[in-house]
Amino acid sequence: MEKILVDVGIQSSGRTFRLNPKSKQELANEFPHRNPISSIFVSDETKHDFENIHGSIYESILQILTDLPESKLKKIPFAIIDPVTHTELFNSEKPSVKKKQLIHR
Amino acid sequence: MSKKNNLYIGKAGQNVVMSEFLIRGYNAGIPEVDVGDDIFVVRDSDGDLQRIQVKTGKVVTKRNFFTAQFRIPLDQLRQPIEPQLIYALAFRDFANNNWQCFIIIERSRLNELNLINNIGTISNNHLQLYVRINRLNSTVICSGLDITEYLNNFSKWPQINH
Repeated sequence: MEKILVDVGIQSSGRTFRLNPKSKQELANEFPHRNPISSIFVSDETKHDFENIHGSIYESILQILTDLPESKLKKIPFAIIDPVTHTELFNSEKPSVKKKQLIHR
Repeated sequence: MSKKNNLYIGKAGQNVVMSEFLIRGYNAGIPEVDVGDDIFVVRDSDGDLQRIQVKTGKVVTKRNFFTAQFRIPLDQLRQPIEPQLIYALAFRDFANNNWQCFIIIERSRLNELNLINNIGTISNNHLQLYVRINRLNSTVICSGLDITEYLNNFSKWPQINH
């Protein structure tokens, strides 16, 4: 698998994350015995509190969405993208994108 | 059909779907400004909220089946916003003056069917659905895909007796 894409919807009090349908299908083919969840909402407050202690929350969100262990996920790059505007919110291959986007949002 | 007439038909579809939620014991309201959601459906006991977008299609009857077309904005379809948006596709049969049926499908599911199974066609930043329903066995086909499971599927809203 080349890359995992996560769709994000920006809301007034947080963000909703879900696997991009194509990535979801690729993961289902490659790792069939998992129990992924369809979407996860993270409030701005939760994100802020989590990142104050643990650093970026995106890896944890990816783990929940994919139900894959960290060891496997480390080998696959991922990006978080707004599917409407195609803005890249985060890219594990270019982590600096994250900061830039967050300031503008 | 004139734009003004379409407004009347759209409003009729919105009201007929709303009546289905009310008869099931759910509270329903229409947002003051029409910018996406058509109906808010609320379970009074705990405030659980669902957002419904109604699309009304004109039924064309053939011998053993009928069809209708629907247009859904792509920008709306791709959004992963919570609470989940649910599409209610209402089939209005003008020849017989009745509502034939409804397709009830979550936005995320329809988005998956489009991206993975190529359901519908994309035109002018809209997803166009051409839905065909067999009158004999009630199977629902769209772009060669069987979507019968979504026919009149109000199962998310079991009857509440107040």
